[in-house]
Amino acid sequence: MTQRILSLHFDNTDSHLLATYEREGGYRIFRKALQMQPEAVVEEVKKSGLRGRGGAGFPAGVKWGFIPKDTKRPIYLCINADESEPGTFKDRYIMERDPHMLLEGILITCWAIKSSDCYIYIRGEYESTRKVLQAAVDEAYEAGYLGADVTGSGWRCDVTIHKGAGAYICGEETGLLESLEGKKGYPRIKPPFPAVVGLFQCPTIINNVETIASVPWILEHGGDAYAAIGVGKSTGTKLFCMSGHIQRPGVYEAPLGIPFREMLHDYAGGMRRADRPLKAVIPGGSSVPVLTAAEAMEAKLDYESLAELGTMLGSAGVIVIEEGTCMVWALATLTRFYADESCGQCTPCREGTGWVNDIIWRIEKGGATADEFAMVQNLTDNMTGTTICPLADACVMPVKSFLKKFGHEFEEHLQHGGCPQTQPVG
Amino acid sequence: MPKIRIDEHELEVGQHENLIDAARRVGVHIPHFCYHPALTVAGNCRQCLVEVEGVPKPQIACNTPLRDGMVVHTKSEAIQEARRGVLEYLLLNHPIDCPICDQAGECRLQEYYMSHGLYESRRNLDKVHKPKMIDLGPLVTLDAERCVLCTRCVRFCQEVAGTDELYVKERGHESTITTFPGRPLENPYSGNVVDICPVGALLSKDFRFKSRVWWLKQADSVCTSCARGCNIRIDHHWNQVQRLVPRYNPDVNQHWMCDRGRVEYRSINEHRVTEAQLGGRTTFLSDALGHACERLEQLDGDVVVLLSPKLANEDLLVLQHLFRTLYPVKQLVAASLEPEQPQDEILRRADPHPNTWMVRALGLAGDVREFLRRSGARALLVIGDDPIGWDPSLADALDGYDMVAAALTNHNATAAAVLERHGCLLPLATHAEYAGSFTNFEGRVQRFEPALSPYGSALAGYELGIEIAAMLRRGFWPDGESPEQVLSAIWKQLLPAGSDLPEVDWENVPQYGFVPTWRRTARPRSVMVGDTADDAHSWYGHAPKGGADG
Repeated sequence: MTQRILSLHFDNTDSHLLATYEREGGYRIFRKALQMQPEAVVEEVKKSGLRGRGGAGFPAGVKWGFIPKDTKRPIYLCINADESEPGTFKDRYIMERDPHMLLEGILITCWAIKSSDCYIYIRGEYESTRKVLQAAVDEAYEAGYLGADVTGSGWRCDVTIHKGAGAYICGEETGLLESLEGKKGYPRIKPPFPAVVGLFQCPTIINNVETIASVPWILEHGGDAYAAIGVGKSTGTKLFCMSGHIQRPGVYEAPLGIPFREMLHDYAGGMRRADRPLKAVIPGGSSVPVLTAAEAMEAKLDYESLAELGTMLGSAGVIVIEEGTCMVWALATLTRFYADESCGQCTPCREGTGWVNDIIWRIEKGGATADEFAMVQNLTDNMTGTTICPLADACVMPVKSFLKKFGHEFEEHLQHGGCPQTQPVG
Repeated sequence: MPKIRIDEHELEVGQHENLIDAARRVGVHIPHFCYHPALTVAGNCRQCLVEVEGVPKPQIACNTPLRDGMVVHTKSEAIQEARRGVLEYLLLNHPIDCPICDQAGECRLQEYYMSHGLYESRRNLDKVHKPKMIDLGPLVTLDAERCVLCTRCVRFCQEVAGTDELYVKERGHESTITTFPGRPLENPYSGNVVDICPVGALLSKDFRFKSRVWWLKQADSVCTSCARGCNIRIDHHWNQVQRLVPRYNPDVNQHWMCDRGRVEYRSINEHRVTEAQLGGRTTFLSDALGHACERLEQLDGDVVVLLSPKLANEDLLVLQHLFRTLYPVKQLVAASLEPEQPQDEILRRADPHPNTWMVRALGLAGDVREFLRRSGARALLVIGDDPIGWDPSLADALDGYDMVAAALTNHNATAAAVLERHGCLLPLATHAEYAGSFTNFEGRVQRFEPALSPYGSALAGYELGIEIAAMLRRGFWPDGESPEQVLSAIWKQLLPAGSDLPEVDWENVPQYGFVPTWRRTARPRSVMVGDTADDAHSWYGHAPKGGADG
């Protein structure tokens, strides 16, 4: 039987209410954490091997350890709920279906990092989600889980929900901080890193919703139990966002290391149409290199296995693409996104995303020359690793992989003077 | 002190020194747009890429912390290629309208294209079009297409001016610098954004279309619009000042100057008194001077002289020597009615005169109205000041004198009043036309160099003093052939004994000026106590401990 950690309460009726959560034993683990030394909590999370679920996969416990030990400034916890990576929609489920598990995770984390202030930065488009989450926060305040005197312990913990205005770049952690401070969402140059100089110039830990929501289970069952799930350094379970040409798109929880084949057939119900087999898979949200059908069918969904295939688990937004889809069109859709979402701060990203997007669209619609096509490789080389944040790389990775793995389709387009298909998608 | 190596140079660096600055010290120029030593590091232009040994990716020099033993390469093939790549992106949507751009000749895009670019354009699509000729404020206009979005101007308004007028709207390649609705860029330092703009995006409305920068000749000078004495550079062409730009001085004005100082040059170019006038006729300077000196001889000191606190140290030294010792006059005052200006914590000083300190040190301060109305002398000589301009009611006071003479830079109200009374008007040079020095509000002596040749037959204040002394046959001629030697001699020979003044080796005044040891703090002396020529000697003989004003 598959271990369910994050989606444990998803199917309960009224799972978003405090009463339901408490009936299931909610906030019990937090009370236990309050009896522990904060360092012991951090140690337990380190032991679990829990890695950041936002995309980068950095070990959460290690990150918490970066806060300067003798800081005189307040420490902040920021929850990154600006879930804007195309193909990713897992945090929404947690916030809508089990908001109190997130809040319990926040309480434990705040206790562990000695913070009393948490901001949840939720993306602007998640208005209905925000309402559910806000209701949960209000309930928690009323019940004494949040506020000046948390569960009568004398410890203060406040949670504030902040709504973004719809910019992808505000999901980048320092862009998020700028936006939270009321400024334009421009990622900050590092060093200094947020754990040292973050929100309002104070030490700040920024974690994804899913990461923090995993914390209560880890504390309840112990870091070792969590580390026993999954494979190697990819411990625990993960919410996979299955989308694309499949029978049953949705969020599925599975241990890391699950083969893609199993995820596709057993969870997502297989391909949408029997006559259209698998063509390609983007395994970790739109920013990661694409896999061909052959590669994907052999792939295991965990950090290391996908890295070996030259791609990434990212946010586990698995986009499944069927045969018959125009890959040029698919890529053009992605580059348009990045060109639109580039914050415009760094030169290579500001100008490069726009230029690459222009060329890809001209290949799709007709008008591009072979020289231009050849140029894309060089343009993307100049964008890689030369910017403040990874948005330029996020644009370059799909472009390079599409060109490498589906280059023949681009050449067909060039010869045909545009897309050979009248309907780009079947 | 950490030691690092940049290419072939080994050097010691400060703990918080920026790599770009450190490299500059050893003559390695790391190209950059967004970095400015006086602003926070933005790290957005990505042009300053360097290779740091042990780090896989190219790093931006502006935000690379310096570590002991660090080895930096700036000339490797990979770095040249990376810089070329960034430059191509910067120029991608740039209109390349250099022939009609005022920045051409001092544009970083041009410079770096020649040093790092030299590629064929690969862009065959339409460029992104943005608004042009955006009126940002009274002094500044923006061409958004030329902008490289380095945000130096935004940071200047945030961090130096503290007024936050500029920001970047939109995002990605649509990003545009702009102001907030109804809040134009009108802080008193707005002109600086034009100087720090590395490209032709922000341009001065005042300088635009006036001259190509490669025609401009330059001279180091000091701003005369207030007592701060900001270091400036006079850019001139056709013997006209084309613009004034700030010159770096860490002790006075950093990299900046105020907008008022920037337009101060207009009085150098316009409405100048270029020739002498006597009895309503234009005449030779020597004739006018000769006539004036004849009258002075006859009057035998029944004269009052009004100098200006805008005159240079050397002018004041010579003229006070002349009118106190060689040809003692009834009263000698250096004062002006020019009203005080707004003062702030950044640069601007309330006192609108560049040399009030020296006036006070020489005991020349006084009240202009008192002086003009109650002097009781038969002749009046005004040098450099415009009392009637600041208070037209004073014109009547001039009728009380048998003779009025004035040496003025501009055709102002005082010049008009003198001409009306058929007096003697002599042309005076501005500080842009001779070498000298000013003493700023904190006692700092700063040199200025000549930029223009004198207008017409204009003389500097000290030259005028020497001429008059010679014509009165009470002459002195400070030893020296060249103007520099003369100026040095003025300091050596004319320091009033027992005065407050330090010895200044004029020829060796350091680049950023210096604060000599003033023997006694120069104090304001607003009342004309003992400032008549007769008393002057005694005043210097036993200087009172506190002036009349405390």
